[in-house]
Amino acid sequence: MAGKSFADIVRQSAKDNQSKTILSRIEQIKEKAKKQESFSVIPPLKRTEQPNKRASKQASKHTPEQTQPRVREQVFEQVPKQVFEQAPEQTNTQTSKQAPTQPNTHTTTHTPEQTSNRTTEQPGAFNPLKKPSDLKFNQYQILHYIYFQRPFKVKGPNGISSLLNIKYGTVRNSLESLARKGYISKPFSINDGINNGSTCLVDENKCFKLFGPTETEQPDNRATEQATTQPHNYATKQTTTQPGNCTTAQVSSSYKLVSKYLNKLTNYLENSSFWSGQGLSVKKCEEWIKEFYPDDPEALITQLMFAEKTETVLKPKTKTSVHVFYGCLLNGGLTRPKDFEFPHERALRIKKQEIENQEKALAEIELLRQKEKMIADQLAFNDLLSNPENVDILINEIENKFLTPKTKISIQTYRKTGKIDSKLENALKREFDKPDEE
Amino acid sequence: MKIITIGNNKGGTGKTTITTHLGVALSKLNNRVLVIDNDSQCNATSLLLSGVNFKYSMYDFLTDSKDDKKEYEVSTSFQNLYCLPNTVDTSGLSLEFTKKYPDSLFTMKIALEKIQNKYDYILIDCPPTLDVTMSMALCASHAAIIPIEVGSLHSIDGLDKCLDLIGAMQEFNPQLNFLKLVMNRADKRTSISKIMIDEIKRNYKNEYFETIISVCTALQQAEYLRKTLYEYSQTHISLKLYKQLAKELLTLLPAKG
Repeated sequence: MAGKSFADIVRQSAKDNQSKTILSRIEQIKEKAKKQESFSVIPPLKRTEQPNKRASKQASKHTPEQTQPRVREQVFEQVPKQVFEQAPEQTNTQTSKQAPTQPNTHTTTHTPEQTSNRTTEQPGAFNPLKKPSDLKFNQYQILHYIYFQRPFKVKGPNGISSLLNIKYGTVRNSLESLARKGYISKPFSINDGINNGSTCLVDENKCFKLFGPTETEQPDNRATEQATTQPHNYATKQTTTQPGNCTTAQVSSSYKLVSKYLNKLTNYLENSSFWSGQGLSVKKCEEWIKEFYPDDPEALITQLMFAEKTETVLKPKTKTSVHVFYGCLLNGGLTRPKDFEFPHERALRIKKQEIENQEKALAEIELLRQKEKMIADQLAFNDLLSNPENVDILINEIENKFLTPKTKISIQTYRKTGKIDSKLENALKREFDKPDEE
Repeated sequence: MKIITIGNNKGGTGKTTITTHLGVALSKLNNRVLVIDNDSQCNATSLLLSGVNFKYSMYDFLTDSKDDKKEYEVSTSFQNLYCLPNTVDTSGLSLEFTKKYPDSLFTMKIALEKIQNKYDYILIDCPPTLDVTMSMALCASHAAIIPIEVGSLHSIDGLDKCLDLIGAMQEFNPQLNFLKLVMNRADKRTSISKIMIDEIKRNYKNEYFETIISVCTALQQAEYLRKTLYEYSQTHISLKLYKQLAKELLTLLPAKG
């Protein structure tokens, strides 16, 4: 009886079934299965879709004319409510509660459009580049806030601390520092029933140069301030706090950026071995930034770094280095000197060098270790050769394996004379060096 | 990516040992390797995943072809080496596959399409039978390696039968090639081994790997502890042979190409 091997069956079936047809058949089966699955999934979907259908039915009942105004109504119901709830109250209170001495422009100047402009162009806008050199950035920020917003709070959700994102302790220290430097008087408490918090006198001469005019009235003293400043403060709150809040929110990110940059520039100038002795001030640098790199203040630091390695700036023939550097900036700036490295590049090079040195040291240690090991091996082998018992044990192990006739003769010679020839020594060494089986 | 089936009709030729150790050697040469245990004896699984609990097995891999999200492969204690484990239940599938023959030949090929791109090499350890299970592996593979036990003439008989099946399977899978045979468990101290090695070299010119795997007691000891030799004795001389074999495979069948 002649049967068929599996290979024969495969061959036969390959003749009857092309692999393409099998694969297409499998695809068809899969598709069928998918369809069946999708059918089985339909009922729950229908159930979930019911509310939507109902909604769409309701929607379809309305004509487009009906639905569109409704949407508009909803939108207008929401938006103008918010606007009118705020705006009329503001304008009314401003006009009614304003003191007669207040200029008429007061009500008209603080429109939303202008508040947004205020961050960039208006006189009251916060300009970090105008920061006096005797003030830290935080102090400058706080002074700007106080100048336009008095009375103020230090703590709480509307306090300087949370609005400017400066720590409470820093705000208190900054206020003390501002008082010491003469920008403000020592802050004192105020509570007129409507306004409460802290207030202080501000040196208008100094602050006007920095921030421009303000409508915030100076408190005369603690006794009179309740009577005199009440309406004004209320009015200024209406006018200045809202834009003020707006600016702090908008500028807060730029505050951080500019603060970071200014600190970097100050640090650089203080620590630079070359520029620290050249009489170049941060203020001067800020002017240059405005003139040459208004969009990229970092570029000036780069130029200053390049200048430190540029011969013409380092050793000027006629003018000072600062003059020459300014001339270079006027001509489009300096190119990167040949041997110049940025701090991060230098750090990388040093790190690489350090790693290379470590690798070298490791290699040397390894070499020494290998040498030490070789010497120890040789010493151990010599010890072994000096002890006939150990030699006999090794010879027995050697004899258990295949032996060439020459080795056999060497072993016989050793047994007769006790002398180890080079052939036997090599065999013993091989056996000795063989690692122990686990 | 290359899929390689390792199988022989003769049992005990070292299919599982070569599959697992070759897998480890390839993974140590920076290849992502998947070892598929296609044998329901689950020997490869017990070697690579000893003491590891796994959720899915070959049974799920071959039957749940619709589910793409399941992680069938289990990571082993070796970096870059994964195992698709098997269970005894898979043996029950062979009846189903026989019923659905010849369509069932493509089951593994289709299932592998979901995962094959994650690996450089997929090694399929096959049972010592020429049936649908092995044919499925051959249908999905690019190449087949046949280990033979040097010293056993029966394994050479098994080699011939395997070659016959590979030839037949090429009708379904034209990309399938017989790569080479591996001479395994060669005891060079015995004259019979020497004679057989010479005979194989003479009869199967250029059809064998240059690396000849020697007989190794440590391998048996490792197997006794359900470990690979790589885990049992990391400095064993036989590991050099597997590394050499892996390198040979890399030159013969590069993953990209």
